[in-house]
Amino acid sequence: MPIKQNLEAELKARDEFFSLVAHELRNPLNALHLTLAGLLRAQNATTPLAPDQLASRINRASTQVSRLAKLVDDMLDVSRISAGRFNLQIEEFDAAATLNEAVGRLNDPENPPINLMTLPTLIVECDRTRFAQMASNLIANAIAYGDHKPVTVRLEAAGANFRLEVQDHGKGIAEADQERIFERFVKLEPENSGVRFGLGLWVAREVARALHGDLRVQSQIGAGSKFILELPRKSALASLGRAG
Amino acid sequence: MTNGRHTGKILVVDDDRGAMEALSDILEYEGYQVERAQNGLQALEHLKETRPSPNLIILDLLMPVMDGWEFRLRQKEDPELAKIPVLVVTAIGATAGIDAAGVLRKPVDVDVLLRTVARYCD
Repeated sequence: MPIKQNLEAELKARDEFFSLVAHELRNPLNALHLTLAGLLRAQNATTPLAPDQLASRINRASTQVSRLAKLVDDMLDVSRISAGRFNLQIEEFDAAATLNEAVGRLNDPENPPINLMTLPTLIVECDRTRFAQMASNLIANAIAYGDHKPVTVRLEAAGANFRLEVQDHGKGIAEADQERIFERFVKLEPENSGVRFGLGLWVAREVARALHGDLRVQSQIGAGSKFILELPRKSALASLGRAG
Repeated sequence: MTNGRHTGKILVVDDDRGAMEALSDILEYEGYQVERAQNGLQALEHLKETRPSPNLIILDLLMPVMDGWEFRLRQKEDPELAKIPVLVVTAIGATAGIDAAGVLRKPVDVDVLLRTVARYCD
C-alpha cells in the first residue's frame, strides 16, 4: 500500500478509535452524573434520603468510578500493546480459585445465573491478573449478550494447556462477524449493533497470544456463542518472570 | 421516598444498569411511576402485557438483543403501541434514522430531561 494511503488508513483508524472511546466513556459518565444529580436534588429537597438510601447511591457512584477506571486501564492496554510495551507477570497460581473469584464478582441476583464447572484445583503458570481480566471480560459479555439466559463457564485441563469456555445462549454472531469482533477499531454500526464493540475482546486476544495461547469464538445465529480461551499450563515465559 | 409533584408512568429502556437505576431514582423521586426493560425485546414484551400503557418511553439506542432502532420499527407496527411517545437518550452522536419525539445525549442534563418528561406526563 502506498505511504499516503497507509497514513490515511492509520488516521481513519485513530479517529474511529477516539469515537469508540468517547462512546464507551459516556455510559459510565452518564450513570455517575445521574447518580450525583439525584443525590443533589434529594439533598436540597425537604425530605432528604434515609441513610441506607444515601449509602446505596454513594456505592452506585463508586461503581461507576470503577467502570471508568477499568476503561482507562483498557485504553492504556491498547496503547501498550500497540507500542509493543506490554508486560506479563508469570506466577504459579490456582486458576480454578481465580476463576471462582471472578465469577463471584459477577454474580448478581439481577444477572442470569452463571453455571460454573471446574476442577476443584487447577495449578498453572500464567499471569494471574490477566487471566482474571480475560475471564471477567468474557463472562460479562456473555451476561450482556446472553438474552438473560444462564451462562455456562467451564474450566478444564487440555493436555499441555488449560481451557476456559464461556457459553451464552443469546442470538449468536453471524459467521461474517466472528473475526470482526476481535478487531481493535470496530465501528459503531446502528444497523448492526448486535455486533460486540469495545476494546475488551481485542485486548483479551492480544493478551492470550502474548501468553502463547489463543482466544476464539464458535457461534451460530439463534444458538448463542461460545468463547474459548486456551493457554499453556506451564508458561515458556516463566523463566523470564515477565515478557514483552 | 418521593418528592411527589408529578404523575404519569414512564418505561425506561436501557441495558446500562447504573444509568437505569440512577435515572429511575430521579424520576421516582419526582413522583413518576417507573417501569424498566433492559433491551428492546423486553420492552416490547412488557408493553404488550401491561395496561395502562406508559405515558412516555425513554429509550437507549445501542443495546444487545434488540436495539433502539429495531424497537422503534416494531413499536410503530402496532397501532396501540405506536401512540406512545419516545424520548431517545443515547451516548452516540449518529442518531440519524431514529424517529422520536426528542433526542438527548448522554451525559444527560437532568433539568432538560425533567422538563421534557413533564411535557408528556403531566
